[in-house]
Amino acid sequence: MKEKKDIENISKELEGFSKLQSLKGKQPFSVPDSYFDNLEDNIISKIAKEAGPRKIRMNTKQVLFYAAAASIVAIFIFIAMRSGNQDANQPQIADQPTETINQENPIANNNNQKEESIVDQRNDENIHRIESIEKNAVAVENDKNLDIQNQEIRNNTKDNNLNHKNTSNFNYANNDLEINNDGNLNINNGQTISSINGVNTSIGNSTTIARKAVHKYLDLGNDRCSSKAIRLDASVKHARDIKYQWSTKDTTSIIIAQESGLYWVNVYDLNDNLLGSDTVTITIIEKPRPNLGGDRSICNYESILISSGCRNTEYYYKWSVSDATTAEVYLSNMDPGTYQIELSVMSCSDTATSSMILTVNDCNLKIPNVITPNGDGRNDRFIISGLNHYSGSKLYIMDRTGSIVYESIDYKNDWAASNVQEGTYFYRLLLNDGKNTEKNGTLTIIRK
Amino acid sequence: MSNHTDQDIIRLCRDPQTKERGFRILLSQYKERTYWHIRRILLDHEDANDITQDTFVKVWQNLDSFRGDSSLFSWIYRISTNESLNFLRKMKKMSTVPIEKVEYLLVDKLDNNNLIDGDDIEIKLQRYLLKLPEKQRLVFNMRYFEELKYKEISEILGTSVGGLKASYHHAIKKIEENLKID
Repeated sequence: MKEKKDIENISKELEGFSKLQSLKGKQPFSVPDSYFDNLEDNIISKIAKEAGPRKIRMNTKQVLFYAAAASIVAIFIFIAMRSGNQDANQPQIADQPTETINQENPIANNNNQKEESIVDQRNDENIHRIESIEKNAVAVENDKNLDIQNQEIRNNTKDNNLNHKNTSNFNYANNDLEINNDGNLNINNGQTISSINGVNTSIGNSTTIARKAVHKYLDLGNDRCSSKAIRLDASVKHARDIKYQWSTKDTTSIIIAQESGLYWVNVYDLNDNLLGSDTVTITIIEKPRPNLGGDRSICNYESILISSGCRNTEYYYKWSVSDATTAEVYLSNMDPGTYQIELSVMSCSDTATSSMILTVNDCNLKIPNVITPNGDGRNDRFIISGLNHYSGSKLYIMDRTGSIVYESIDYKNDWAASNVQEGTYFYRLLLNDGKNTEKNGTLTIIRK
Repeated sequence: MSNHTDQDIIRLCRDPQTKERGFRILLSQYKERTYWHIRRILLDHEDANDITQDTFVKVWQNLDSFRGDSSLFSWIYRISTNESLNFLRKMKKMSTVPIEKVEYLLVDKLDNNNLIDGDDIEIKLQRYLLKLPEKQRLVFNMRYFEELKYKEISEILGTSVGGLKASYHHAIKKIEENLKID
């Protein structure tokens, strides 16, 4: 009954499987004619559009750098002129350089620029130089914390008043230099955000800059897996005035993922504009602790189900005796012998092992058809090899007339035919194997 | 068309002089696979088209920072997977009806779409796929349709090979069950 059900199940399963097999590689999707021929050009033109009016990336940076540098100059002129009265009137001194950022060639538009190039970009080393800024005061004060790295600010002209009080406080990081409209000077790529209070330079705006920073730094990392809670860090370097919204409803920049699942974070500016988001799948699985139990022994015709002692289906199981990757393996038709069974259970980066010894006995009975009980030590007794695996087996020996000459309800391979004559006898063995298998045959006794 | 190795393409892209040429080679080599990968996630052609373009825009923008510690292909796949999933998430968010699963939005796309037209059973398979958890659907697509190796999928999704095998196994089991019931 049970077997029949099993067969039904298997054939059902096979049916599903073969349906799936027959579908391999088939899908109902199609694309418009010559879609792929045009895709390439569409992408290229989209990239060109994304790049906007700027021609290439290098130029953008150059423009930005220059604009920023010029703004700083302007700012400090202003600071120098009106020190102590910075908060009043929100001056628009930086107007001119502000405009240059939107123009194709800001350098040509700048009055300070007539004699020499103000920004000289050496492509390879990313070295920018500000050279010969005439009649401008560049003051950098400690508390302004302007950082420039990999840049060189040089002052060639005697009229210039470049106050560079403290080297460490005047570093530009690489070359992404931007000024946003609330007077913050943001330097990307580097370590510092600097602020020039009270000066409205109106270059760029905070959302754009925040978006750039978010785009660049928001990274929850790869999907990952651990046996412990995982720290998810969405904090965005250099971006201020941003808000975090996690799938967990948290609003902090860092959360601790306690359980498996998909986590996402959205980053908004203060006006709730979505600046960016990232997603990560976290799998938290407790460490596997496999336990195969003690050593076991079986007969060679028996099957055995060996269980890992783990239930988690997310684990990956590797058995030394099977290709199965399941939590249990079913072994059958094993050759007699001793097997070391090893199991590795993997999850995330954890691997745990367990092992046991499985002895497979040769339980096939070998029943002799002749014995020679003459005391020479060979074939003296009726020894049924393999019988030791079936203790409690009954043995009857009859002579030709059918009378029982020997019987045992738990035969121990010890009958030496001491009470009988030479001749042919019959044996009947009732095997204690749970099925009461009966074996009958003849046994010839010879004494020589 | 001669096949360029990843190294060739990356070398061309590193040099500003040849970046565009390198990128065009990259496109011709990977555009179709990438499109189909995205299409299988998003089902709708127009969506897939948008996201394919976005993916390659991102590839272009980030080529300089590609470190080459995975293959170019798995890097592109990873970007396209993330873009697609983000898109689904956005779609979910913008939906006026509150929905539990993106699935319900995608099921709609399977019907009444003139670019989705196959045997009943093929569409059914897609429908069942939508019932799977997102991760399992991804793994199933990559393993079953795209016939990627577990190791490659592992690079793309950043999941252990063991976990992937388990996911795929679960997916296959569920799909087979569904197919059986029909």
